[in-house]
Amino acid sequence: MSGREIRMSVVVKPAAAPIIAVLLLWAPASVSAAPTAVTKTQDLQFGQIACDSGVSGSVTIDTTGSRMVSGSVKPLGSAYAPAQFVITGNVGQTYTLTLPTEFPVTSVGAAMTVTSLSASIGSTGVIPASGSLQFVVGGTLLVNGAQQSGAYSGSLTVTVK
Amino acid sequence: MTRNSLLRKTVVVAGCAAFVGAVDVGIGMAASINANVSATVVSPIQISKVSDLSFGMFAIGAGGSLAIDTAGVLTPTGVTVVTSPHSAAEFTVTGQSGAGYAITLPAAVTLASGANNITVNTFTVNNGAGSGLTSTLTSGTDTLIIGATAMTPSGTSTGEYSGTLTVAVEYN
Repeated sequence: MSGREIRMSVVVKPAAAPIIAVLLLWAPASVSAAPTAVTKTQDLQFGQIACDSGVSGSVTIDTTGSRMVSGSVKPLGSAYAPAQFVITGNVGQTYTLTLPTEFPVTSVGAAMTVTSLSASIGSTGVIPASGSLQFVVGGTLLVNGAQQSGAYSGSLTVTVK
Repeated sequence: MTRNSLLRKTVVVAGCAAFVGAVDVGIGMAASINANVSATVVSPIQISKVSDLSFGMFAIGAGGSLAIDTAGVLTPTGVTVVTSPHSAAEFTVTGQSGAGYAITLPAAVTLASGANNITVNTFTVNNGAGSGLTSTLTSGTDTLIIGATAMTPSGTSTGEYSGTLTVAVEYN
């Protein structure tokens, strides 16, 4: 009897040690797992453009903040910018960034479409040691032929999880 | 003995799985945010003619040239003005208030009278910003006046010469 008891205790001790170690590793992670959040720090502005009647074109704001035009579009002024956001969350957490495929901007005239959205960071990644990750989003505005003059606006929705 | 050992190992594995599940829930929550998107399409720039460029009537004489400046003043060189009706070309440019624009002129225009030609060149510009090839649509409009010089060398045939001066404007 006593011989069996001794053997049992020898087996149990090493098994108990890993249990404690595992609990210590995982418990902090589960307690502090705040949701990953995203905030906007700058709107997407294509700025002022002019276009010849009857000829379509486009204006692109890239992730470096440059503005390029094609077709009949003539860029005016210097007020333009990519959208800018900040992801915050737990260091080391993986995030997934989702951008829309396209969305409209509207005014009194025919709607225009914003497409080819791109971000300065990958669609998946890890939140760095600082706990936050800034990124910008650019896109291409498709301008119709004979686009009516006016102030056009729309909404870019980015999702992070 | 051996059963006890196996039972404890099973508990360890189950504990891990439970915590992994809890972490997954934490990072699985999606967050969305909207950015406003704006673009301003400005009025197209347009140009319309107010008056034609006219050198009037003159006699070639020894030959030379006939210039008209942006104030409409005629300066004959080696030719003799016969009648004075003449005018510099004038245009009205309209578009986005406050926007700058560039003016493009041809290097030369050919006036024809049958098979005979007169070359008009050395165009000069007066606009709201001064005398250059750029100006501003102050209050959405600007006046463009263009002078030129007609080359009328000795031997130029008599006749009524006409041609077309094309002026282009573009936002800059």
